[in-house]
Amino acid sequence: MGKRTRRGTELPETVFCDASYLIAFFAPSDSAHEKARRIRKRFKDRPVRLFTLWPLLSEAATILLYHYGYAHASALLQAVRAFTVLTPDENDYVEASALFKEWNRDQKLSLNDLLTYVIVKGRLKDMPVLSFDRDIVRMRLRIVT
Amino acid sequence: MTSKAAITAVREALLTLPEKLAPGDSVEVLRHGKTVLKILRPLPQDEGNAFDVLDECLAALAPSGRRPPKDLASRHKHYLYGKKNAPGD
Repeated sequence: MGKRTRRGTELPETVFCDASYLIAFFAPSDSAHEKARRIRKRFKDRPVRLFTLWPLLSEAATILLYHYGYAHASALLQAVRAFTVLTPDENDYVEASALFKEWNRDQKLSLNDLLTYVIVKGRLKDMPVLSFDRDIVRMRLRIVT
Repeated sequence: MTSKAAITAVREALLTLPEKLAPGDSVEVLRHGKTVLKILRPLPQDEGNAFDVLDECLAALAPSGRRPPKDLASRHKHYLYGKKNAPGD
């Protein structure tokens, strides 16, 4: 199960945003939007670096475009400059593909979920993650709540 | 401007990028008045609060007028990939 960073503990200076957090932040009608804003407020007046992946930005922008329209997708993509956006390399995809077969008995994890796992656990050295996706939360990642 | 000239202009813009742009600034390369390349220089990642940029982009949004699902964030894969066997269900 995911490990959660508890309230009151020191906030990380680097966090990884998955697609569900990006969607929640730019989707004001979403049930997770206020929670996304509350998490953001906890980081107020602190230096913080945000990381994500290009495939996750693509996923989030597509969903925002379909359900909220061009302006919301565009707002997310204008905010790209705030992120260190990583591009998965071939090894990341190969490893995620292997895990896809290994871990996916219930067929719920997407390749992007597994790419997130591979990169957060590897290159990003178990960086804390912002996510509202149960599949991501179920993996052994440090979820910021 | 020919295609070759456009490519040269883009190359020159890329070569001079670090000197020309301050963090957060952007550069545009135009061809016949149309943007052929636009580059945003990221904010320095070792200072500041990156959420400030997200706030700024969110604040500029007007209500969409649509009625999107309320569980879009938590079940985005369901909406993106379809209902049958959708991840996240």
